[in-house]
Amino acid sequence: MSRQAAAGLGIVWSTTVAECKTRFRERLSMLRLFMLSVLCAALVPPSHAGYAILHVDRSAPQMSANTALLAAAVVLSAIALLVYGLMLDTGRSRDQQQRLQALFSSQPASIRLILLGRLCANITYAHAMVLFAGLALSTTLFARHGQLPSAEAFLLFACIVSPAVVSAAIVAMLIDTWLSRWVWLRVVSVLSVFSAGLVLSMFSPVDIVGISALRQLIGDATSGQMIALGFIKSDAAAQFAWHTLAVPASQIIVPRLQLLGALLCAGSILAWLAAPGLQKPAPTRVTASPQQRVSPSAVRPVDLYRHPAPAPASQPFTAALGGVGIVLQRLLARSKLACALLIFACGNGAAAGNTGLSLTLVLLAVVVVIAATPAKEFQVAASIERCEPALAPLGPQLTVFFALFLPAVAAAMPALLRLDLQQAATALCGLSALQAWLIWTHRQLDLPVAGIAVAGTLLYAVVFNNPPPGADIFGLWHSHPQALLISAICAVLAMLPLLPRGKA
Amino acid sequence: MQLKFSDLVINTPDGRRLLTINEAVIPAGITALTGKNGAGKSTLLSAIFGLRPLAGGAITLNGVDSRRDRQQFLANAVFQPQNFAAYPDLTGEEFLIYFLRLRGVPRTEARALSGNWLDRVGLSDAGSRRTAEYSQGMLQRLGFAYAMQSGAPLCVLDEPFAGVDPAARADLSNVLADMARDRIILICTHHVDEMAARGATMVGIADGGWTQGVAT
Repeated sequence: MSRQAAAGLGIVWSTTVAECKTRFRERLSMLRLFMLSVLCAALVPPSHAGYAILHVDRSAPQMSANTALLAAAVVLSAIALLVYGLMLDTGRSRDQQQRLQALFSSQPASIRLILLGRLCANITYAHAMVLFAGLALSTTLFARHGQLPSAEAFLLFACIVSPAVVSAAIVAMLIDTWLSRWVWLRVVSVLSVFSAGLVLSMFSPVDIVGISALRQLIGDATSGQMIALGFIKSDAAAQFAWHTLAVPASQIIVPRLQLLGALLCAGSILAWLAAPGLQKPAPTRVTASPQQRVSPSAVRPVDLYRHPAPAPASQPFTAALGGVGIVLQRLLARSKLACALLIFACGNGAAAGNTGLSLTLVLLAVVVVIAATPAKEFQVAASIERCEPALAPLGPQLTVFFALFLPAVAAAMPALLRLDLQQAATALCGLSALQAWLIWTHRQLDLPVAGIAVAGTLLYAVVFNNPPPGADIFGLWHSHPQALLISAICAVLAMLPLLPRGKA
Repeated sequence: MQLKFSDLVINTPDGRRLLTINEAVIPAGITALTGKNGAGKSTLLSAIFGLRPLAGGAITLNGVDSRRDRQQFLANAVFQPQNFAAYPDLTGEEFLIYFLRLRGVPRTEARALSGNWLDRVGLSDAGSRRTAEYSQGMLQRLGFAYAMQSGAPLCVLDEPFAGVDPAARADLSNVLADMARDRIILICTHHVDEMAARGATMVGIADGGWTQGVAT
């Protein structure tokens, strides 16, 4: 390899590594993984669920773990095309916001190679998410049906989702370098690409989303029937059973790999052509440096909780509740749509509606709020906690994690509104236990990752898997005395370490 | 080795004349730009790297034109912008290594160089921490390391001592004087005494013009 080629490869590689590091270390990465695991749980519905991913004549067929994984893959790739198309970018706005554009513009390195590296980083990041989704889907499949998908099916899963993810990364790159000046055009472009991707997949050999591949894999069992993908209520019993794949995996894998190769080549060429656009200023307002940038609305809560003396040992719990209040206030002020969703969710609960619907709406509200909240806001909240003695130094992850309590808190509201005191008490005890656990692991044990991992796993297991009534310790789905007892014991045990020890 | 401005004209974004330099030659050593706020010091430094358009004239480094042979010019120059910022999610060391790699420095050499420079600017303990945790003064020192580690013959530094404590400023000034023996250091700073003590040539920018050898 010539020296010039080695240097070029070095630029692409180092850019990819640096961008991957920044993406994976983003504070919202954990939240994204959490939301992805929620989506994966929803893509493998339990047998008694009112919806299915594949329908034949309005009936949900029985599927093997392999088929279920592949059906989920098609929905996931369609969603990935839309979400990653909007989410991934080439860092133009970010560089300008963080005032790094001058550094890049004064580098002798080719902007084309830098853009190629950023494209590679986006593809790598999205594939890491795909890998996580595969693992989450497999785990849920095992938990619900007692079956794990085969290695071959896992490979097929990757082959179905991968072209969609690469397409999304390419589209995001082109839009960010050429069209980012007009936000509406950006949204319209991604929606157009999404629609075109679906149509192409259904009616042409360019099967970006993988619909044709799934049809081929399922085979003739559906001939003359209608296949629908998505969340459509099923009102009939199962009529079909898909336990084996109709064609060998190699018949699907090879064309998918060819498509992937073609997309990667096209992406490289387009990156080469689009690169000059990266040097143009992004259409965002240039603000102060990250260290200096603190909006007045973000600073205000400091005054509310200012405390001249060091916090006594009993204060963290109060501070944590205050922290939830701050986050609630700040996040809700950001989106009226989220407020409307929360009100509707509570109304639905009060009218004896479906708790699951309330929960879904509240989750959606959180997603809306998170999407409308810059990562810096979370960092500001974290810095307040770090510097303010009255607020426990909970750490940035915990601040973000408080947002995850909102679904549970709001999901307990219907129970309160329906005057189901047992269920509401269970929810409150469960939440108190969870918060006390997080504060304890953060503040006193200094084990934030372990604390969040345990809490996240528990939330995931209880909130999204419809547990038996006696194990519903957050009172989200059922009202049961055993659940109340367990959550009360957990709350007491978790709060014990936070009680004052009689020594300052 | 020299940086040369010929018939240089820089306008404000709304088209008003900001700065005119008929002929100026900057030799190796430290050259400190002084002047009031808004005189055009930072604009001039940005214009050297093509970050601001020139209304006329040329900037050459050893005969290499900053516009016509841009890549070659940039390969021999480095710019530390005002209020230096870095990727908040990268550590100081990763940041330095990344930008060395962009200049084509091999990985092992980049690692050694960045470690050495982190040490020289007093950030060896903070090198493995994310830059989001850095104070503004630490970021400025990181920026100084970024500029110096490149080894470029032309170093342009815009307010590198802003937010840096006096002891660290003295240390950095000594490093600067040491590095200036074999390269051009063009620095914009309000700490004129410190620069004058290290033998810097003082240049005043005022009333849209360039006055070499102003008194401190």
